[in-house]
Amino acid sequence: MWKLMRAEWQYSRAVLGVTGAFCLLIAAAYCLWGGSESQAGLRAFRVLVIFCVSVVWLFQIIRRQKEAVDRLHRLLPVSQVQAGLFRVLFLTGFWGILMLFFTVGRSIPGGSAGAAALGRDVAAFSGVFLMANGISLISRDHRYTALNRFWMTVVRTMIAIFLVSGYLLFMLHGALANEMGSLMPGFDTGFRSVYRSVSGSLGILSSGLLFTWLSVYVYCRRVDYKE
Amino acid sequence: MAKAFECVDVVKTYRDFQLGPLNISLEPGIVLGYIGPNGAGKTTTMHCLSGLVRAEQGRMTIFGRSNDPNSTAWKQDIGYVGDVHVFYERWTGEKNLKFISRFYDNWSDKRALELAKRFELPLQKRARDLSTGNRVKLSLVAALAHSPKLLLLDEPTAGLDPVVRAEVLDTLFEVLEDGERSIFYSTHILSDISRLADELAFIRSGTIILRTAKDDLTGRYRRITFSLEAEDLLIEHASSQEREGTTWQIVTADAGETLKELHELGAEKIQESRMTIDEIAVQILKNRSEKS
Repeated sequence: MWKLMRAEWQYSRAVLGVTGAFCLLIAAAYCLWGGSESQAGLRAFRVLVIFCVSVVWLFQIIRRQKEAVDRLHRLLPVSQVQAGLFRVLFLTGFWGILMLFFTVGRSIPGGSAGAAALGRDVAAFSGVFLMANGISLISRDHRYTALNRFWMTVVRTMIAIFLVSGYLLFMLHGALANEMGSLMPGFDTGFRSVYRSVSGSLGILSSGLLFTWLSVYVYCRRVDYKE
Repeated sequence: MAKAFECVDVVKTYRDFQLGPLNISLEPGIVLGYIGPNGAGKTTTMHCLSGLVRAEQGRMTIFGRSNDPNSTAWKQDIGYVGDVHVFYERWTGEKNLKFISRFYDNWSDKRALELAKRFELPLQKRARDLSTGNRVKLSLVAALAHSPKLLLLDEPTAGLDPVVRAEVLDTLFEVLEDGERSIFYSTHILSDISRLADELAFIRSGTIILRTAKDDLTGRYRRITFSLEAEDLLIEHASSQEREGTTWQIVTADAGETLKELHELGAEKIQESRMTIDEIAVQILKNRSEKS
């Protein structure tokens, strides 16, 4: 798996490097000159991270479709589990590094007082990212499994529900917090109360980990790796 | 010594096609030509053996080891050149080979470079800029550079010019020189396989209809022309017959018996001629009655 990770890093470092450096530069600027208002800073960092990961994520999706990477990896002496883990962990690792910088950057102005809020935010945010990453891989793999028509419909319905009600709303809310609040006040209050609580944020993170595991599980259930 | 590969009751089903139940094996050191029309199941068989596709039933082994998707040891023993040639497109051929080399214990950079030179493969070009023929060559180099014990070749010379095709076949001959390597070779270009193969297996509609030694096949099949006044003829072992006036032409899978029969019928001007592998293959694949 580490050989695949290394190759992927070498292959994608232009995209990873440019978007990551851009994000870090802006984050550094906020830490030094814009971090006095913690709420505004938090939102801005979040938007940066969403932008950065979205670029890399889209790059991975497009490349996967154009370059038959899964097929290449299945032909090599790499076990199915390792190949499945690599697919989900590569982008997760990139996310983890960004979250580290995000956390460090936000703790400087916020100090220990904001640490708990920051921790809950990172947990919830990471959970949603893991769900999105897992879902994108599951939606790609499930059609190649031996699931019958009924279960395929169930899986596709779950993917649609998650995308529409979960991921998009969360991302929109995160990026445009005040605007969403004015449009849907009840939703905004309720939503914030969930993901800002310890149980809510840990629940979201746990869901993300579950989807991560599911993505490897579904990958290993594929009966066809031709693309 | 364990068989190079063995398929026992293997079944793979698609919406409008079923491969199998497939029972086929290959002894070490043998070249088996796999011949069939488009859609017969040749590529599906290769996909199942290489691990790209999982059969619903049956078992497959490579040198005695199950081709379990979670095991990697069996993949060290095979080199695969498939119907699609996949690489990291923005990397050069050289960089792709370097990436692939990390996964094989017996990889030889020297051998890879020698093969690339022999095939006149431009290693400094990006994979996405390679022509179809050069992509095939890069796949061949990647498949051969770690000296695998079993080569799975799915129409490897498709897209190659005659000079390179001859070079590829020469290289494959060299691979076979030590007598321990095996090749499973599917092709439409029967002139390639007639040179290389020890045995031939014919597949149609997902089922193997005949497996035989190549020399046995070319020894058995004959085209026989003769004159005979008859409206209708039923010749045992004849797989096809044509008539123009009193002149008949038949293809037979057992020349000796057929000639005896014709003499008994009073046929005249009997002439027999040998057939090429291509002609024999066409007869076999057209004729459903040939049994394995």
